[in-house]
Amino acid sequence: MTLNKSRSERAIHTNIQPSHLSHKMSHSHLEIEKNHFPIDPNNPAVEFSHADIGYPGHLVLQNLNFTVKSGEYIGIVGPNGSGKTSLLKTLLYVLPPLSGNVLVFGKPLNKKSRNIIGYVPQMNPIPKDFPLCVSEAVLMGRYGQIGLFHRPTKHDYEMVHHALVQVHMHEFANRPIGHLSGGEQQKILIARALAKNPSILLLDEPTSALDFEMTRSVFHLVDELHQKYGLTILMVHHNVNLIRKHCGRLFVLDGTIRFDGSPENPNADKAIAIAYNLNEE
Amino acid sequence: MTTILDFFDNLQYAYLQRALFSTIIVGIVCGLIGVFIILKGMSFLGAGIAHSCFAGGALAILLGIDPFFTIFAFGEATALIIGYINKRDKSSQNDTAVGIMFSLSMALAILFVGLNKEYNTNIQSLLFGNALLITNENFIRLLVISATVLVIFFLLKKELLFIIFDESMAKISGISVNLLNYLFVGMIAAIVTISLRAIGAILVFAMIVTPAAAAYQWTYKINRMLLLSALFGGLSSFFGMILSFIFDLPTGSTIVLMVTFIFGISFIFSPKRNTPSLISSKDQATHTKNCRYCRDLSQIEDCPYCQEEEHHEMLVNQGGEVNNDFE
Repeated sequence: MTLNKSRSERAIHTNIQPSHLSHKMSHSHLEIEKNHFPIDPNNPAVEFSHADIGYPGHLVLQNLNFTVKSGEYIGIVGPNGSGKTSLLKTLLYVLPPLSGNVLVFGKPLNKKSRNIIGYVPQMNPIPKDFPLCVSEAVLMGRYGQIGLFHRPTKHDYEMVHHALVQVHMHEFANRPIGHLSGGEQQKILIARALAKNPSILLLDEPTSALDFEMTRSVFHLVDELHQKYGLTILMVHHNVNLIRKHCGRLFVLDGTIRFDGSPENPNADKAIAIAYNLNEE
Repeated sequence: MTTILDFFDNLQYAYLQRALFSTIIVGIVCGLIGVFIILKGMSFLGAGIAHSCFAGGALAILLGIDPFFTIFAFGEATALIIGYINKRDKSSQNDTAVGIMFSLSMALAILFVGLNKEYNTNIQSLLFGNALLITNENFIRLLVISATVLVIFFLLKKELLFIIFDESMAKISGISVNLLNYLFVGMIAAIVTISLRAIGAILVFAMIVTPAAAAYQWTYKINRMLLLSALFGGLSSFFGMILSFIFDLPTGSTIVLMVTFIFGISFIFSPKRNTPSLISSKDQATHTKNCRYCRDLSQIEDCPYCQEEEHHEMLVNQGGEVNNDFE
């Protein structure tokens, strides 16, 4: 929490990239990102008040009231259709709230909020021969900043390099992405989300297609990003036990937030049992 | 007998210059656009649009008007309808909409040809192409449309590639995915329209797909693939024209034969299938069993942790025994 606050403060008060991204950057690149969403570190990272989420005619999550402090690591669990992905889509402004207010660092959620929110989707298989190398795939994470008709600058390539360093995959930069293992490809997708230098990282079942070893490796990486760089993290995951071990705060969703608190809280078990209909068995 | 020297001698004539440069431009532009078409898995789209362009041409011949505008209109309309169906009906595959439009346009083409009671050689040239019949006006149109398509293509290259690689993330990044998808199919229609005169409705499909498919065999880098595909398209047009001249054969056919030959060579000698392994297949099996980084890789060379000789030897010397000494 403190770590993240100081990071955000540095970014604002000195108008530079956070230090972890800029140790190799020249002064010409130490400037605030174009279209950067203004961050006020005194405000919570995310704030939902009386927000309804869903599609016209189909309410998925209703009356959401919660605050996510800067630097928190939140695990989100719930059965299929409980609204986990819809919650992330709302934060990405792909699914704007039907009613109520959603604030990101004190500012109303809008399309520009995406500039400070990194998103890691569920992994789809990448064809082995797809003509794209790792660094090109990560660079795609900066296309929102680069803009239409513009070419990537030196600064963009530096950000790509730093994102790859953050996920310990910089040695793979020139490899075809289809040649990497599933776990490595997922780390590249995390690097793609980090390439825009986000303050909030959303992960939607990032290990759904991975075996246990690779899942553990991805979780360790997310833990490191949280601890070392103070990122605010919201991760949707199906493995309730695993996510509880790693996150600092747990949401159990079931049409609304059935539980919001410490993963060690005994009430979490009850909420999970109710959400997953385990009491009947 | 006509020789290659006769071909270059005859290049002093404007009709042959137009034919040569038109086919080379068509080969280059089709080759570039074709890369994104095959990566997007829309190979059949070129055939669908080409046949609807043929229907447009047949209508123009029936009405006795300049076929350029009807060909262009039919091509663009088909591209937009296919794009719309794909956008609205996510359950059907790209090819479903193309298949529907393909058969509809062929039905229309046959209808227009049937209504035209007089035999017209223009219909045959639309189907099979004849680069030697390209007029100065057609050549200028080809230049203008090719230049426009190439400028748009290179300006939007990175966004188009992002959409192909991960459409949902492209949308989240703020890219107008629907608009660019429409623009892309519109560009394909424009390219098919200008290619029709040179190589014909049936063979334009080959010029879109084959150079890109050949380039795909050689590289893992998108820029190299674009370069190779344009090169293959341009070279096959050049040599196809020469063959056509020397042996007095239809131009479209010789060009497609050339590009298919290039594909055959690329397929046989593709480094993607012929990379020599560092160690024997038996040792590789042992290695991939033991090295946790190699498990999902088909070639050991792909594993960054196995580049060091020591590591290699250690893995090979383990002889397949499982090491239970965990740290």
